[in-house]
Amino acid sequence: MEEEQRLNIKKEKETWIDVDQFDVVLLGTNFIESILAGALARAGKSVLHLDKNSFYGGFDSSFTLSQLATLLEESKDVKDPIPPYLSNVIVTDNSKIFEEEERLEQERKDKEEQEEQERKRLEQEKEKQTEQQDTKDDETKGGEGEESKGEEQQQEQTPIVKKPIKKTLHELGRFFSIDLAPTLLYSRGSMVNLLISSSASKYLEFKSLDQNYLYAKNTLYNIPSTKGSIFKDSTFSLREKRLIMKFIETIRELTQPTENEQDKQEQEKKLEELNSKHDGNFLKLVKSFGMTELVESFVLYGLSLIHENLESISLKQGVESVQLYVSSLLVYGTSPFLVPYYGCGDIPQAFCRLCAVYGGTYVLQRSVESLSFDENNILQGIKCTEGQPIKTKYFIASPAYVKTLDTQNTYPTITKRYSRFIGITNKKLNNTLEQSFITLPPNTCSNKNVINILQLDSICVPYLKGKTLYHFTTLSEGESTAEEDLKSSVDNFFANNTQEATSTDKPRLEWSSYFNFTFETLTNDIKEKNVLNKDGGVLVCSDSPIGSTIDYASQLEEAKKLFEYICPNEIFLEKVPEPEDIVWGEAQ
Amino acid sequence: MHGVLKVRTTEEKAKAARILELKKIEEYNSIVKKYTDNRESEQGKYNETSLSLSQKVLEENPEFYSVWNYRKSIFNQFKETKENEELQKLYLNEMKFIEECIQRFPKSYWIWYHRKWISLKLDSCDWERETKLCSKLLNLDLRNFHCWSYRRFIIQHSNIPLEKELEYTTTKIEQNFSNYSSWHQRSSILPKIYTDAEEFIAKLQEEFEFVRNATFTEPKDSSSWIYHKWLVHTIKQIPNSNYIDILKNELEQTNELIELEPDCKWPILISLLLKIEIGAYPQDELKDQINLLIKLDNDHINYYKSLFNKI
Repeated sequence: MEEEQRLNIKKEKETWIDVDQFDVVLLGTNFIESILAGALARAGKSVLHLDKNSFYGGFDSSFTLSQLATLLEESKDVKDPIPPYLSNVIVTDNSKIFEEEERLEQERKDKEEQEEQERKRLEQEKEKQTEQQDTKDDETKGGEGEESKGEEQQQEQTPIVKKPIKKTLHELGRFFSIDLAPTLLYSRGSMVNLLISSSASKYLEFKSLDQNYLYAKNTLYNIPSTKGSIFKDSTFSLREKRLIMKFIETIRELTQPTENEQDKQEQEKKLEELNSKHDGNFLKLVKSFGMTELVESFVLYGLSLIHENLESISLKQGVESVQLYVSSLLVYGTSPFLVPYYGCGDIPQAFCRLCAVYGGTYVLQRSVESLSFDENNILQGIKCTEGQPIKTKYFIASPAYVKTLDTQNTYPTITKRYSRFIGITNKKLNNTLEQSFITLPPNTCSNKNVINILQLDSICVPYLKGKTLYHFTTLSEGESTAEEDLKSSVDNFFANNTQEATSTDKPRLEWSSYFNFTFETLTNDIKEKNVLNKDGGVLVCSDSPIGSTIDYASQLEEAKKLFEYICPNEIFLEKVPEPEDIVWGEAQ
Repeated sequence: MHGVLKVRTTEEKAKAARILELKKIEEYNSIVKKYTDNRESEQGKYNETSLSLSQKVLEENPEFYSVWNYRKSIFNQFKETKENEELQKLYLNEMKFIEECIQRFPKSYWIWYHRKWISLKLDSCDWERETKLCSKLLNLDLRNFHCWSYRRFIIQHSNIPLEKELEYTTTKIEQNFSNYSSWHQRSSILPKIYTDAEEFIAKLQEEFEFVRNATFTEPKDSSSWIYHKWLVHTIKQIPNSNYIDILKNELEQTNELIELEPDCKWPILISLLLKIEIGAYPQDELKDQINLLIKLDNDHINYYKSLFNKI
């Protein structure tokens, strides 16, 4: 009896956290929660960060192939409302078929080779015999020398060939970092700026993207963007070159950062003039340049990367997006984009690490069961699924998590649904560079919305070439499934079987999956009021909204807003001092 | 406060940096003193110490040009006293030393002069390697004119095919055509490659088209227009080139650009100059164009006024 009690206490203690009280408890390690956790800990708050999953990042996580396959398999029947929640999942694994085909093909080749060798050997022997005959005829005493020569030749003919054992896709699977929600970072975007200013960048590695393409009229066009690439380009006429440059120059003049007050006023005046001339509409501004259709799609889909509801993008938004693109060029490479080397999931993890360095406590596979309030409805603390109750002033989670705890209050959210496709092929697309971003404007492959394609060749399986990873992402409207939204574009680029692959020279799909996911973002109205519930202790933050927009600007903005609410007048993610500037060992 | 890091302030950092700097100045002065003392005492009889002491000075300050000349005198004297084999070794060492200096000070005139001087003393200079070094430096700074000048020196003294150099200027221009040096390099090679008049004319026409891509991409950039002016000047001097027709075509293209960019001075100026070359354009039209240029670009008013005498 006593023994049992002691064991129980011991077991309970194992699940305890050694502190009972925190300033802030966050549930879920999505993008916004992770940045916020890092910022709060950096500013001296005590932070407890929980996640129901056994991995960091939620929607913003990166997975190995087998992890991803498990996740996809599980989400077919479990309707878990906790991020990442996926629907309409289809997985096609052809890798075994191809590997079997390759094995048979190899066997056939080996056999042919053997036969060829055998044939050659026989021929040589024949020659040798005649040769020997000839030499014997010429020289009667040379017998011994000939024999030893023959032996040497025979040894050469039977070399031991060691065939490298080709790894199967699933054996290679652990080298992949596959994002559920991949995105690109602008070299001069707010995320990269923050990573540098906060020194969180030291936890990450990036690679510059090689090339951006626009897919139109069944052709992949380079998106020329730097002066050099426009000069060199052979797609555009001289007039078109001038018009693209003129468009870029106009944007640059409008947005060039300046200290001079007069210049600033001039810029504002110009922007206002354009605004009233084009009803504040970006599309109308672009149309006013009188470009050809192709050049116009280059500008709309190549230089500006806001692709959702193109007709209603404000002039300011559009101009800022192009400015971000143009100013990010030639910073780390010719492309304006950076890709995290080990997947986007590394970014939330970097901020979690920063949080932990500044004393944050992390517990994975633990969720919150209930919240407790006092009689005035002020948040007192939380009760976790395991361990002791914990006191806290603030509790932050995404809408889906909060809904499971607090059914009385619903938060008005906007749900966005995306269709995704992830594919692994045996090679990259013809005439493309290794790491590429391809934009498909609407109606190129019977698609309603823009489809973004990310091709990752050498960074997905860095040490073993021969596999390429693809991501397709598009905004999904209505009830259409990922397969309905994306199948025709996928079929356009890839082959489903070897026969098709050989005849069309397309990359062959070895493993692929279609799925949908739904994001809940808070309505702008709530964002303005700092995302609060009735008592000010429970805060809600958006799921990380990605899709056809690029970078993490909106997530950062929201994290910053929440931070400023909890820590007014504090610096958001102040730079971590360099080790050599820290004064060690002095009495404090 | 417990658990709060103490970080060095900017003043503390600046102070530490200043102390380091003062120490460095002191070290430099002592190096220079050793060098001058030795120079006075040796009385024009040079040895290995002369080389090593002057090298130390130049490592710190390559702009001290009399030290480079001092080294030249040393090598000149060594030539009288030493065997060629030993000399060659010294020259190679000198090349290596210069290479290290250039990496740290890529824009010092004296270093480049010295490299040219030594490279010709070598029995066989590896010009291929020299070219590669230049390309490396130009990747870091594509406008380093010392480096471009050294490339021309290499061409002059090596057997490296001119076509290869032409190709190199093409890639450099494609990277960034706002580069006077690479356009200039092109203009200095082309006449050497195309010695046949007919072929040269055909090539120049190609060049007109090539540079047009640049002027249309960025009409404000003067480097490509200067090359355009060189093309006009060159084609004019080829006998029987029928250049008027070519210039007429150029005029047409330039006028098209003016339509797109009516406020840019360069296409207007070039169109004016082309009209003067071709001749037989109404005086009033030319005068209007000059007046427009004066209005757009008042800084060069006197140059534009001088054009009145040419029409």
